[in-house]
Amino acid sequence: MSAKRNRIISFFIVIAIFTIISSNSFSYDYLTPTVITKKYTIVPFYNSIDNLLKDCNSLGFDMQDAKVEYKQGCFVLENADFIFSISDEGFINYVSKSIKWFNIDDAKVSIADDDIYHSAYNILSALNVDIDDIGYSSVLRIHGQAFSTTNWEPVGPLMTTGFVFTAERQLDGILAYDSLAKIAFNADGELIDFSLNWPVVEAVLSEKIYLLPENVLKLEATDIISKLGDEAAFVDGTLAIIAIVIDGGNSELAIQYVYHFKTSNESFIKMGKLDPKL
Amino acid sequence: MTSACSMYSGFKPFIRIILISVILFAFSSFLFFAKADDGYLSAGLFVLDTWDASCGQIAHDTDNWEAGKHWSDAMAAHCQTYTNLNGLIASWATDNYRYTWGDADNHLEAFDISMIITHGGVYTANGTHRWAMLMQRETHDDSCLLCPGMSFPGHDLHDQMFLGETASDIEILHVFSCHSMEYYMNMIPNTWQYKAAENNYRSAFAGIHQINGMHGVSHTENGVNTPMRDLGSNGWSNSVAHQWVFQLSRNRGDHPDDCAISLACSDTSTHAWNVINYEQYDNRSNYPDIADPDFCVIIWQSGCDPDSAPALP
Repeated sequence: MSAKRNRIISFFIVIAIFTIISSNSFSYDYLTPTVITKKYTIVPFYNSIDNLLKDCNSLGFDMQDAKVEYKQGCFVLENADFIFSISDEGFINYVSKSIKWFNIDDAKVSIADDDIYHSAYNILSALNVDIDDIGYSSVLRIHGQAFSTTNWEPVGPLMTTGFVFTAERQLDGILAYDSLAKIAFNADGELIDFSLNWPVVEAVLSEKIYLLPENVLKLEATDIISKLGDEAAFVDGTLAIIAIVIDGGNSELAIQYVYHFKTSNESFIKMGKLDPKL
Repeated sequence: MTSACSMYSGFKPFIRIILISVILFAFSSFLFFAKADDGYLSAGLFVLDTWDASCGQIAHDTDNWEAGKHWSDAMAAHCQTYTNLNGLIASWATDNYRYTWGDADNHLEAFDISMIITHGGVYTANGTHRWAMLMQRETHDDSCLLCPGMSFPGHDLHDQMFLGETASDIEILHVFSCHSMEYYMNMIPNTWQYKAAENNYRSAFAGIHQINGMHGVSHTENGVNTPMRDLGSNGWSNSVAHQWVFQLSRNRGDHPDDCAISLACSDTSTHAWNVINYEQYDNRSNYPDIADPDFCVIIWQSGCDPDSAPALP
């Protein structure tokens, strides 16, 4: 009976020690740099006419009388209505030749932001963009105003000429700033322009990437600030966000440290690329 | 003898190559300094890549050069282009109407379309704010800065740009530089279009149709190469003013945005709107050259929120 009681006491002692160790290790993790355990690589893109035609078909473009040529590192499909191209890096560019911009009174615009989101998401889906990968998106109006040059007073009402949809990619909840979709519509909601850099990526391995300690970060921040000259006086710098950046040109992955600087009269963010510490 | 003969026969092609190079160089120099009223379309790129230590710091901005090259390479598919790495000195952008040493007619204004890429900032004098851009120092103009707009006695900036007044006839100017089209503090008129009667300053618009610039801080390091290339491609099929705003603006959510603004001026607001909505690189002759215009139009992305400037309305 005594031995059994001792075993029970020993069990609780072990549990207590484990709890203490766990709690210490949590504190240790809190004090040491953050760890990222996932890496992504870009799947190599092989440019071809087939890609171009497939995307055109998906988008429902009328390719009548279109000619295709390869120039300046791009396959380009062009007819009287539009130019559509895919570069060897996988960048997609479309511009309409027939749909025009025009300005109307901003108060009389009938197209809603939701209409623009709907149209934009349809285009992205046709181009095989996984909508779940979109971490940030927005629709902004393109505003315009006429002025008298005599006194720079506005002439006529504030105008709208169109809308711009922007989407940024996220991977595991972290924005990948080099992946970008932009789509422009005129004030009637007609598609005029889009550009898409949204490479296919895959997670390849788990790896611990230790971020720099805060004191090192501050040294880096001070260095960046010194290069800015009179633009800002460094007051404080902290690591605000960690972003994964996909470098499409080199098909490499880098870690981008984003510093949040506070100056004597404003707060702003600067980005600086550093080598990941493995 | 054999070796001497070999030397001679090798020397002759060498001389020929030298002669051909000299002729080609002379011809290209002639083209470079020729004015653009000779029937062919041309585009010029002026990038400040490295500058004098006495102008504050030595820097080597390959990002600027890369961005500009993407634009000029795309333009080259449609017209003759000239690229000037580290080519931005005061006389090249200053009009001889303003100063006798100004030679813009043979450089910046020698092209139908020009692009400037350099650093820029807000210059304040007598409580008035305007944009000034960094350039290489020159003996006849000791300042490292150039300002297109108003001048003030006793200050080292001058009103140096008078764009499009001659047969050289630049019609579109892109200025990728921080604050070059600053929406607030009256900086757009102070920089490009100041003509209040009591001051009698002339407009920088002396026949040019549109100028495109940036509100707040702009970035070359964050993916601007592709937008520059697409601007150089799409501007032949679509409105240049809108392409500038679409390609060079970038909404980054919780990060500072890049905010592009296009400015067009003409004799009526309707004509200025026509330039904004319809002028392409290849149809500029559809739009009149108006000196000292009465109306301007600007376009921008609403809510764009850059570094070092308030968000656009």
